[in-house]
Amino acid sequence: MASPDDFLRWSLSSRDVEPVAGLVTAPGIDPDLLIHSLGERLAPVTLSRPWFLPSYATVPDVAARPDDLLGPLALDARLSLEGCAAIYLTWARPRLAPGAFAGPALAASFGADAVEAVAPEVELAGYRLMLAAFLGSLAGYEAAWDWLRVLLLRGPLNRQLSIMGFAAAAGSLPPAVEGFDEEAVPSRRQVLAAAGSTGWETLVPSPELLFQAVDGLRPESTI
Amino acid sequence: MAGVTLYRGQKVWDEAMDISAPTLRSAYMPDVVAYTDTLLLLVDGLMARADGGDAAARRDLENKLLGMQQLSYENPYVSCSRSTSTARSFATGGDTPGYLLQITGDDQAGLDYEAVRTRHGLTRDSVKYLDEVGIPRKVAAPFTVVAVWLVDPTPGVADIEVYPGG
Repeated sequence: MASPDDFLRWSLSSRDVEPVAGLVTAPGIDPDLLIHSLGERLAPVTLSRPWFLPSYATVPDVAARPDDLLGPLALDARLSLEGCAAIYLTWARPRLAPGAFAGPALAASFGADAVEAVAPEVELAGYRLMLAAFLGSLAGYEAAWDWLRVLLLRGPLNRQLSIMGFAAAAGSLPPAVEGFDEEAVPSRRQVLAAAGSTGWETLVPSPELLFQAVDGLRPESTI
Repeated sequence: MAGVTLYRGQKVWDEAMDISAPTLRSAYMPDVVAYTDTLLLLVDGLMARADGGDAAARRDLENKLLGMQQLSYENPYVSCSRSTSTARSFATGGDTPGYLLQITGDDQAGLDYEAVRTRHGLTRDSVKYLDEVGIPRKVAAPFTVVAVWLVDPTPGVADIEVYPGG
């Protein structure tokens, strides 16, 4: 199991993070409330266009009431290229057709985002969503692992390595995945086993861990 | 200058092919040569400023290194590794055969990701295992492909040397 610091750096892709003053850090707070409050504090704007979501995401309905939705998922954790960070709360889940994670459909999606020339914005979307899903998994959202399964399955080899590495560090790799060696990119067999498995060990929701992660976010974010 | 031996895995190879950086192969940039040169200038500039103690440059460099390893349109370097096993895993990515290249060159002419990160105390997430060294633009002097093997992920299938012995 990786340390909280490891998760922090992984989620934010940065060692050089600064604390955000004034964040409430009481233990036991509901992660939904935490993220909501962080979203208001760090990014007090309405997200009207889910530009960072890949095309295979459902389009978030920002007008819908939270109770109508499947749950908060995608946290755009940082704008990494500019060294600053934000949390954006949005509402989305992977758009998964029935059977998409089994049999021929599963195999057909292997590496789909790497096969054809992918537009830069799509590549960047996948990268950011991966980082966001790392953070979301710390908040205990099972749907974050759904995203990681999608990104793992479709991703180029480096992304597959990062996601498998994160899952291994979190102790969440499904038992069906055998012989994963963090020092080499995962094999097709391992990726298909991981993406197709429902046996992912979801991290226990950890507000403390999440606090430590978001404590490092920089407040001066712009997107 | 000291010699360095690097490895690289790829799916296709022939003796005449250019082995070039992802940005030079991009279908989305109007002038891939100018774009690649600009990115190289940017990385060199960030490293120089970070070496001089500029904290903002150091932070940007951290992001840039991770970005180059995750985003092909950001990467003006040919990705290689000091590790044979890493290169082999790329050659056999997707569980199909591929080519393992051995490349020699000058250890000052490439970008050693982990050395730069160690020097500046930068985070590396799981891409640290790649032990990546980037060759700017394309494999050309002082870098040379000295050997190529066709490698198969099937257990028990031996590597086949296709260059120079092929």
